[in-house]
Amino acid sequence: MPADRDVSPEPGTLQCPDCHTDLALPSGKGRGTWRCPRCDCQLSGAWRLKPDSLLALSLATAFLWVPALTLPLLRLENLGLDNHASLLGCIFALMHGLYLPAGLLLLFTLLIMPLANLVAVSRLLWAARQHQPVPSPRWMWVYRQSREWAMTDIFLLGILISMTKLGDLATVTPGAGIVCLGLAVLLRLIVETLAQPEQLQRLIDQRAGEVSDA
Amino acid sequence: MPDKPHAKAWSLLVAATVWLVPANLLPIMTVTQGGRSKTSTIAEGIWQLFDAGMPGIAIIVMVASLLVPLFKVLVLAVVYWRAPTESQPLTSTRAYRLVYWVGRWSMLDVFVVALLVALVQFGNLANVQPEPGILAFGIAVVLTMLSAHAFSPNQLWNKDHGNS
Repeated sequence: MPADRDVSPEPGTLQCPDCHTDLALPSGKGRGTWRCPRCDCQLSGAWRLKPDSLLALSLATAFLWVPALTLPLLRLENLGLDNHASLLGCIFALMHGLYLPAGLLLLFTLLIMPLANLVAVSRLLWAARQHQPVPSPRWMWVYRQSREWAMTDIFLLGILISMTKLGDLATVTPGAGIVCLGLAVLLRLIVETLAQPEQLQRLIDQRAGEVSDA
Repeated sequence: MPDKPHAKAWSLLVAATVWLVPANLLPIMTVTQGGRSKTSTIAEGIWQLFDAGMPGIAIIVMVASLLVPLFKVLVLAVVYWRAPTESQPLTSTRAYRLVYWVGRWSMLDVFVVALLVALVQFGNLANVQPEPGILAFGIAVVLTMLSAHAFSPNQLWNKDHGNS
């Protein structure tokens, strides 16, 4: 969702990004999601944000990314001939002639945005962990945008549909790339669910404020 | 006529609607098997899945590729149209949030075609080639996402509806 403003208008208050209502920050650390009473916008997730754990998950995702990109996702056998395709292969399959814009769209949604998501969330979590302010609001902007435009989760569903479609054409065998991609997507979804942008921004501001006060 | 603050969102939505026409009318891929070629549009692809006894997959593709883009365009048009005089901002905000997150799933067909094109390359024996419909469809999906992005739910709450 487009967020017009990230910074709290006054200490102890927060402006809802959707309806711009000024809200008092909840005092307790109870479980459960916190929503804007006026427009129902989710302002924090159901769980406490733990930068160390989420940073570890982001690091694990980074390690999975290289094999997820390069190893074969599927292997196809037809009358003694076989072929395989990796995530990079799929991106470049449409990168020619008339279909170049479609290829660039795949490059953007399956490679650039997932990597931007990984880098941005890691930078933000690192800032929260180190009790430092984020040097530029661009990091949060990139994180927000990449949550929407990174589409590896949809691509995974596409793989399952392709396997079914190809069933009567040839023998389809899943490759190691699909396992790495599946795990990378799962970890990314966990990190995204737990690191809600509003909640992460507040944690960074709060921790950076504690250091500057001390 | 649309208000000026919504002009960008409206323009992108109209462009997306225009692109949805070739996206649904033009073929998205050609499958060649044993020397015979078969070109199919999105709707024909869904029908082929039903015909091949895969109703579950067919319904997923139908929802993601056929229903969601149309539903998203319609819902966004209603939300934009009502925004200047919105009397029920909560309902419109919820509808906007729903289509905002559901819309990206329409990319499913583009990914399936890319995967099939990359994978099925056995020369004259069997191969899959992309067709212009997939390009139009990808452009339509991106334009609807950009249109939703150009609109802010805050524009539904600009009028004084009470600040509870």
